Amino acid sequence: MNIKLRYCLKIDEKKCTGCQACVLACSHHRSKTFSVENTSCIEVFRNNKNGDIKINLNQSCCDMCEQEEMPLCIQFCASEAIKIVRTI
Amino acid sequence: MKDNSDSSLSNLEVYMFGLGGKVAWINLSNNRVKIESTGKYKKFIGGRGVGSYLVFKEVPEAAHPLSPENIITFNTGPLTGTLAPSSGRINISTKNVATHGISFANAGGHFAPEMKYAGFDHLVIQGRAEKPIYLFIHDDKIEIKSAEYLWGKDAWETEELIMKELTDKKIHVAAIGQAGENLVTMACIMFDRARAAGWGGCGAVMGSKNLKAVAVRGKGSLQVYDPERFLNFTKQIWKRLLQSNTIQLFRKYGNLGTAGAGGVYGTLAQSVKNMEDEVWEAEKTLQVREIIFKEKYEVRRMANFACPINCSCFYHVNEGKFSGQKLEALKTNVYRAFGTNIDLPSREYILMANEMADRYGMNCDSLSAVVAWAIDVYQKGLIGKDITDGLDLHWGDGDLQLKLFKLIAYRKGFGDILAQGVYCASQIIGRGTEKYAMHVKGHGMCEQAIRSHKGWALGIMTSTIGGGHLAGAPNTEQRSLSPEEGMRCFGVPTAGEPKVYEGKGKLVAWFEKYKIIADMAGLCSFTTYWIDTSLIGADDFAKLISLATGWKLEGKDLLNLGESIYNIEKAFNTLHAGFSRKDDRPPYKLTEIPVSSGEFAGERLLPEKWEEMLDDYYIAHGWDVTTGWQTRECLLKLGLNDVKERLEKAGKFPHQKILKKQNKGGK
Repeated sequence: MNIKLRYCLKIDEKKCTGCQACVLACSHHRSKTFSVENTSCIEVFRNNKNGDIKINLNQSCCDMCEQEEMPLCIQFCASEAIKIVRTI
Repeated sequence: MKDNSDSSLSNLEVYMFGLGGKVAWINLSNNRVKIESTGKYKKFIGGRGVGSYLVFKEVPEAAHPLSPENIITFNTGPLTGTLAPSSGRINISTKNVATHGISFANAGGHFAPEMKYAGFDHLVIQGRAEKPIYLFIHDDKIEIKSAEYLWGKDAWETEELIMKELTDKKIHVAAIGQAGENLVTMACIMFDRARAAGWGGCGAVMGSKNLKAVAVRGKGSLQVYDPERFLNFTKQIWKRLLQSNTIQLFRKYGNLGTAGAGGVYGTLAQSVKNMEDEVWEAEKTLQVREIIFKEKYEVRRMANFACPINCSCFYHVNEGKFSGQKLEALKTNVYRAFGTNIDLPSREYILMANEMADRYGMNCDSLSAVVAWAIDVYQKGLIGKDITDGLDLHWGDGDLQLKLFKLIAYRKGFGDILAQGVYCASQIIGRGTEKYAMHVKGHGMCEQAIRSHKGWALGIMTSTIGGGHLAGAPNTEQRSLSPEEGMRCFGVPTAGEPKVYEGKGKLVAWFEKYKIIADMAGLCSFTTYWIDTSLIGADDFAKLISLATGWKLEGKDLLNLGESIYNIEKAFNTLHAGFSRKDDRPPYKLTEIPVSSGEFAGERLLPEKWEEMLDDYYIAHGWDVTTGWQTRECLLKLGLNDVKERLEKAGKFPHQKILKKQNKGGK
């Protein structure tokens, strides 16, 4: 069964602390490197002036870390801002 | 993909596992940039290890800290920018403006990983630019850009204007405010607006070089040596962090988790009224408890890079005189510096003082030291309005504190004297104010629990950078570490007993070498043994660094290296500032004025016991107990022959001092 068809990730920008661990975890999963640019499905924008955090999540490149028991970004999100939601 | 650590760099093939690969030497006097391989400095791992070594090697003894001959380094470590927890720390090393000895400072944020992704592990900045400039470091390139339009702006405005000019929201900026431009001794460097590299006047060193800011942007990536094992081990470390009780309190209350009545350590001692006491009245503490800041103002956490602790809070203030204020703020130190030490139980004024110190770019500890001292000696009647330019100095006056910050940052009137730091200001004014100057080796201090916690006090007094609790002050006393755990970790059963002097020399000497490991690797102290012995220890660091770089390291190698770096810093101080045993003693207030009440009532630092503790400390390092200087044997054992030669030439070995004295007597 391909779980990608039935589940996807949802990130709560309010809970997010902007630490970018999820970005690194995704980068590691996809390219075995650490980067916050290009190699990750997640992109985090921090606004230090007003405390806003915006997240771009590219669902189409996410394979839900098929080999892992849980997507790596979730494993490394200490603020529990990322969760799995069911899709049709 | 090869390790070029021993090759010359003619072809600039510098890829190395876990590293950006390059060191940039930027001479602002002639606009020349020289690139080296980071491999050249592999021996010193990274971060503070490389920074301290370079400052020792490059800065001549005659060089004033604010002269072009001084250098300032920006250093990352092999774990910076990886998934190792809290891997966003940057180290700044330079010759200390306040002490004229060594300085290192450390800040969090997202600057350091970005610098590494741009390909640079270390920046070494030399000389002085003719006109104000800033550096733009991006993807293997270094640009020197005009900062004339930024001169006079505060650190926050500078960040905004640079981001606007470079039209990239992902740029990270290290900037100085007006204090750095005006060579204020307490000037710091602000990273990502709210993160300060505070110590040693590093902001003034940048100002003296006409260097307003450094902006970084890196689109590269880091490949570690063993990606799978690195990831798995990192997962384990994250789990250990999240299970720690101490870390849970930081996560709940933020950095203030250690500060107030409900904090990690219960009712913690404070620095009150220029460190006159360590107990603040309960009704005052209650007005500024961590829980009130959390409930009233906290809108979210803004974490350091890859940090599961999230101790940094973002506040929106919607009440009072400064309603509308938005800032990432309030570390425990800031709460003490602008709250308890000024006797100011006002949430709104503490937060505004936090903002203004950030904007002007001034270190909270040394700024508080000079402001609190001024109020103290005015209240004691030692100075009057003739000295203060007509200002009436009172405790608990929030407007006065903000006014003094401005006068200091712009060096106007009375502020011009204060801008030189508490030690120099007290020397200039005299009148008996000197003994109330709270400083270590000439650097202002604002510390809590320093009379009651003897090891903590020793670590602050012996710190190579002139105070600060992040060199070797052990946290074990605050946590009442059990005798068994004290023995297991440090061979010191008294490690958890605050009032006990015995064993603390050995304990501090251990932490001095251990703390360097975190500063070399590039992680935050909160992830380490320093805060909780269940967290990252020397062996864990060795494993993380080895998996990241492919170097084969063990915990004991890192501890030995930490000891070497500490000796390099110590030698720098002996050579440049002439420090000796007398400079490792606490100031008057701490030995003569006891804690007024509470659990530690009557506690002070007893001079006789202090001397015994110092003896133990020097012996633990293998140094001479009479002078407090290093010995040839100790340096040779560490393989620091060049350091030994420099000290030999300068006549800074114990027997040389005795010979000199004898010769002098003979004449």
